[in-house]
Amino acid sequence: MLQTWFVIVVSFAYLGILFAVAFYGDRRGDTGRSLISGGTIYALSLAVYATSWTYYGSVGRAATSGVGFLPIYLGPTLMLALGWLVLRRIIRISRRNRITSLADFVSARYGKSATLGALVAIVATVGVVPYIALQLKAVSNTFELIRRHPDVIPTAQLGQVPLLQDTALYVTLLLAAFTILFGTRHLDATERHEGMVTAIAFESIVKLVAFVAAGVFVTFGLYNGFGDLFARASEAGLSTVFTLGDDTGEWVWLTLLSMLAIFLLPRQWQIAVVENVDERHLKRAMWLTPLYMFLISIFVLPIAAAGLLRLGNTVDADTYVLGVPMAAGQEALTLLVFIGGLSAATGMIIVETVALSTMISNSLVMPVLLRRWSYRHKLAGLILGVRRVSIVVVMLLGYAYFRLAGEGAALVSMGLVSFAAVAQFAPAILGGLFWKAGTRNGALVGLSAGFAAWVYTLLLPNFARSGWMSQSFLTEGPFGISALRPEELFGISGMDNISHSMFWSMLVNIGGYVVISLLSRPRAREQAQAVLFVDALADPERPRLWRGRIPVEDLHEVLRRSIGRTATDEAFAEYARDRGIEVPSTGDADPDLVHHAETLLAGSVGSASARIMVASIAGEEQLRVEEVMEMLDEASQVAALEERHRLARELHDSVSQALFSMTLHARAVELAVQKEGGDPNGPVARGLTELRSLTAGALAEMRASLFQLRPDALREDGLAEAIRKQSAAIAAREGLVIAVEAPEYRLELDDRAEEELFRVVQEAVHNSVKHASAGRIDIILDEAPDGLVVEVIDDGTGFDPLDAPPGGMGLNGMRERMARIGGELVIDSSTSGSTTVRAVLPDQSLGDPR
Amino acid sequence: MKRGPNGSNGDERLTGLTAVVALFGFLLFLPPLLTAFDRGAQIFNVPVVWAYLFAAWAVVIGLVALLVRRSG
Repeated sequence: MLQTWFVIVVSFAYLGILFAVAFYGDRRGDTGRSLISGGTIYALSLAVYATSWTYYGSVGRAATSGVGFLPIYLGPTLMLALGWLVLRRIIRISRRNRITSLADFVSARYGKSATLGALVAIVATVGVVPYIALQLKAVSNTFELIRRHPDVIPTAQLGQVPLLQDTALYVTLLLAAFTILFGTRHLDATERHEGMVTAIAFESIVKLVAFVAAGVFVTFGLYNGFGDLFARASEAGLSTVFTLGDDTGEWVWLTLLSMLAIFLLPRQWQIAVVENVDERHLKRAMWLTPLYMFLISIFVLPIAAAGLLRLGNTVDADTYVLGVPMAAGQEALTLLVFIGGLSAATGMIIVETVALSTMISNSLVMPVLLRRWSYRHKLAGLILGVRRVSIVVVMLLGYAYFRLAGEGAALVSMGLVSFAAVAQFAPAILGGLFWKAGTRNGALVGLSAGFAAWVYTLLLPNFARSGWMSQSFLTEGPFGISALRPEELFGISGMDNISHSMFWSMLVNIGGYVVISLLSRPRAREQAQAVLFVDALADPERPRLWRGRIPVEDLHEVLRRSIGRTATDEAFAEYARDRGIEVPSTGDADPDLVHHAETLLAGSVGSASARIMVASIAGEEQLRVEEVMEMLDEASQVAALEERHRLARELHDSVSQALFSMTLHARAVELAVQKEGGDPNGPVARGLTELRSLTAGALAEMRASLFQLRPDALREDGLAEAIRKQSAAIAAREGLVIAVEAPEYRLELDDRAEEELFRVVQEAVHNSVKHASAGRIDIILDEAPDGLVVEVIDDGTGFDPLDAPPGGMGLNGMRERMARIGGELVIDSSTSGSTTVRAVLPDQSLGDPR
Repeated sequence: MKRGPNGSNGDERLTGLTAVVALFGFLLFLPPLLTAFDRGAQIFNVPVVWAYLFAAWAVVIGLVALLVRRSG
């Protein structure tokens, strides 16, 4: 007999391995040797579809309806065969628009409607939380079965475990830790979690191996192969095993339902769409995932038959997988099967919770928070916080539901009920993919009506069966109105409850969606999105498109700054002419225009920068429009600056070296003439002296020009040194005295202040030379305790500062420069002479300079 | 057999062919064809409908795998 402590140790060791695998997957991803670059991990992780509900429940279903369990697996096979038609489209659209959840997808398709996104998130949460509870129940129940063996416990008592002795509680807490650790490691635009996906693929292998091992043991260990096993079943009169069950209508509905579930369940969407790193991986999943399901379901019917033969009705058929090996005394196999079930449950819970938490945070919580709070502050941290809290809340909700519902119908039949809930997304999503005329209002009405029908015909009846509502609601209808009986609505009878609910909910869902879409006129924004989604595959070369709103004016402004006004206007005109439309001058630009503009920009600043710029005006990054403009100005300046730099280097190497040699040679010739006894005042000597001074002047001027050509001289040398060099050059050129009094060390200023102060000094010196005809200029840089003072004092002809300053002196420009860096400019001058320009920059640390 | 061209042409071909396989799957997996095998009969002692469904399933998976491989 298996010791309880041993089962516990093995279970937690297994979860430990899961952490290790996820950690390893993340590490490999971080170091660029990703494990998920092949399609196999993707295909295996898609098998998260097989939960503990199918792991244990399939056999239970097979025990009552034969191969009736198979549609749950056949539907996904059909849907994946259609993968290249449907899923590839969804993956492509989501990648381009950076869509990270199902709710976001629906919202984006219908004009980025926040209401619709929130509705989807609510439907998904309501539909799926009980499904999570179901997984926890499986873990808890199977653990109890093993613990109490060999006592045979009626299932009804399995749920009655004290809270603190319940394994499911600890599993829940551990899974919450796992999910937070690997599901919200960091926040990035793609929302991919390599470690988590690797762990899920690993879990898929574990559950397959465990289930197949049980099947092989039962079929070939307890019996002599399939033939022998079925022959015994036939002799025992177990006729149910040999048919489809008694309702082919149900078979059809279940096939359709599971076709939708394979991509509409939040966890499936997460794995298939969000975690997809390469469209081509889908190709492998199209056959490998169905093959996985094929293998895991081969032994379902044999195990059911063996269970019926050996255990009969003494135990719940849902636990045959565990019960048959246990009854046969196979302890190791029992443990393996239990771990397989644990892996099926944990895989489902982890991915489902990540998917739900993304929806809850992005479509429910954040829109509300953003409306109230300024989003500039630590947005990433806030999102992660919300994400983590939602993970814990979803997990605890699942656990609470499990404790509350126990053995009630509100839990045990919840698998298919969840399928039916997410199937309500199908009209809006599939319609949105292939039908441009579908509108936001249509989707809202259809989804709301379908969800309401689902609640009424499926969820409430389950609540009634669990005793949470009066039974008469089921048997006599609300208020005794028999036409409204939820499982025989308007007198339609003879269908099982799932088919009945699917019939009504799809009728009102599809009906509402189509009729309202046809009646309502879509807004321009919806139409644009519709074209984007429906024609997603039409233009494979097209770069990503933008989710944010981009006003035409902003687009125009960005273009103007990078390619000039004339070219921009021409481009817009050409765009309008080509398409025979008029480009509005205000409002949001349509995606085609944005794309056009991005291509133009890419030609000017490179595609990466173009993308960043459009991204930021689209509001996808938290950059202000002004910052983009600045970036753009800088970008277009870079080329010019580089050219100037090159020119400066060349001039320095050639012309100024030549001038320097000329001064040396001129001096040498001068000395030689003197030595040979030439007349020091003769024409030759005078000419030589003149030549030497001219060459020296040219050299000084050349150095001054070179200094101005080099854009980073200021940055390299610091303010004081740059002023010294500049002054020396001007002094040489203009033939006056400029004295610079400044500290020898480098002043601590930011680039911007350095630049503005330098320009102010340059301008002041320029004024002194040109307007005041100064003979001497004193420049003083002084670091006072309360800030930096820069003075430019000349001895030239002053002016009256009260008079309107003479034009061209640029005084206003200087004042503006100082104002920009939080300083001020004082000009002291009089008509009697001497002008002092004093720039004061308060100490940066005293406060924000802006 | 000639390899299908890559690029969007190849994608369209793959889309079309796999969709045909899916339709074929519908035909095999759903009534009325299915009901023809659902008689509770046995072949080599195993249930006919069970054997039929798994065989049909294998065919569908095999066809999709074949198409995907050919598309490169």
